Amino acid sequence: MNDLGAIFLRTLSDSRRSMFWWSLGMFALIFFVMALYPTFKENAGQLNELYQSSKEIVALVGTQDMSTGVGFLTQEVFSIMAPLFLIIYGIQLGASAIGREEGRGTLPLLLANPISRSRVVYEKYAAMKAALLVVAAVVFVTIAPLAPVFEMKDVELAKLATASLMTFLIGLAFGSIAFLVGAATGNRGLAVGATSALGLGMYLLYVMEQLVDSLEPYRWLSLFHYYVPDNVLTDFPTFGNVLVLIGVSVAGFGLSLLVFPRRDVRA
Amino acid sequence: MSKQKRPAIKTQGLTKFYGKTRGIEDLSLTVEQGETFGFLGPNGAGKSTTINLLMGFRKPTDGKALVLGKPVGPDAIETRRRIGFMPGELSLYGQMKAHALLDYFARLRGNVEDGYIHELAERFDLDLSKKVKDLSKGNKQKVALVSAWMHKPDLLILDEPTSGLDPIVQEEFRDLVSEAKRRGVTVFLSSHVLSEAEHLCDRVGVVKEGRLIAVERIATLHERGIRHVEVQFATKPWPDMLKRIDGIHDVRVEGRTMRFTVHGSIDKVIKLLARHRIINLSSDPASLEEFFFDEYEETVKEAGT
Repeated sequence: MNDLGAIFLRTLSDSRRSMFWWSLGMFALIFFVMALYPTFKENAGQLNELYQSSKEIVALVGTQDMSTGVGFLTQEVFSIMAPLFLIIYGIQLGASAIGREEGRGTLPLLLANPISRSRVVYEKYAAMKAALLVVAAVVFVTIAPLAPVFEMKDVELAKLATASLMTFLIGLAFGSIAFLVGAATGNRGLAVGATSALGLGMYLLYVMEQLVDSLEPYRWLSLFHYYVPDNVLTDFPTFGNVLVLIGVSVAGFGLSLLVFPRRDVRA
Repeated sequence: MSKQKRPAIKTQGLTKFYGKTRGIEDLSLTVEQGETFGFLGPNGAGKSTTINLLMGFRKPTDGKALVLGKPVGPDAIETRRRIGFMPGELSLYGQMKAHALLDYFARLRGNVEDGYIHELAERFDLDLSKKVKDLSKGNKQKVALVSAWMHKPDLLILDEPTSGLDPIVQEEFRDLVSEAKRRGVTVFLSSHVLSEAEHLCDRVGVVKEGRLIAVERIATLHERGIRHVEVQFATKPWPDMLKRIDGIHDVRVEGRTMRFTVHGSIDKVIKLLARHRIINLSSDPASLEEFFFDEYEETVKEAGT
């Protein structure tokens, strides 16, 4: 019998260094941002006034009350930083999964083994998911114990958990798109570039759509619309939003499973 | 010995185009079980394309190929279980230690004895505790050889296995192939160095610009082969003395020494020379390069008329 999970473990082991640095970076940023809160909240009133004064600023930074812990965390962590971290890491992992093996020329030796190409997709995808889950878990694990320490008593654990889960899901969605491009083309650079451009486009659409009425009919095209940056920590996600993000991931995975076993690989 | 009907490799009209670029065209080739077959040709002739088709890395544009009796393709998992493979452009996971890399592939294969990996490594004098990227090119090649060998395959498909190897490793490689041959393993290897195939193979096929232009037994080649002969006479020879024998070319006389090449049997030459007083005689087989160069020229001439 051959060892199921060997590719998964191997891939995860290859990512252990990046996983460590991304986790450490996430922890450090959240920690320093949270440490600022107790002094910040006293002056938050003025900032709130400034923020609410123009709809352009609202579109960029959201409508949170910065004097509350939840508002502050939404603003500083969940609206941009945490999802961005997971998206970038997801794109890196997804693009590398098959793209890097093929680019570096290690794929022929791997595929010379008595394994199916679908198994390569299954296990590499699972490894990407696991690595993203670890970094998303750092968001929860950092904030949960530190919130009371830094006077953020209004943070609810259940909503913190779903918000962390949503950062994971949006990271996984972009990761899955990059995974698909890598699996379809074997070109890691293209996978990173195309998915990053897509992500940037979607983010701009999300911001602009709040300012330009004519863009509103297209807002469903942006994945950020389903992540709901402004309310991710205040409300539980809707079933539909979760479903869209999971749907994109499943589609990326499913199409990879369809495309990769059928195409010529670079050897 | 299993010398029976089912060939190890059989292709029929196998063709691969990359868009308009030719990879290999209309390749029909049979390699019998237990045979060592050299697939020869210059770089870019279509050798690697053929190997990629046989391994299922790429899909043929046309034609078909059976390896160990089964159609090739990404799904031929059970076939790959019995194949040992070495790619032409060798890239290994550089960050891994050699033994971790071999363990990884062993786990993916599932039918490898750990002891055998170490036995092979010892035989090759290969340090498995080093990171792959810190190994010399020759040692990396050894790692790939071990990975191709460790599951005791029935068929070895080796793409340019000895290019860039130092002579000592080449020697070891030859031993390993001879040993495999004795065990009845089929070996299909590509090379652009004909002299290498000459020592290793039972038969060779030559590809040029995507087409198979010749398939010959090495033994036949030697019978039909070209020899460079140098004869030192006791008295000055005259150039025309060999005129009546077929297959004598490039006769040159320098003092008492005569040099010429013989295509085919040398028997008549020896018998004629025996009538004269000879001081010394040497006869060296020409390289296969020369032989196939001639062969190829003829093909071109035929095609041209």
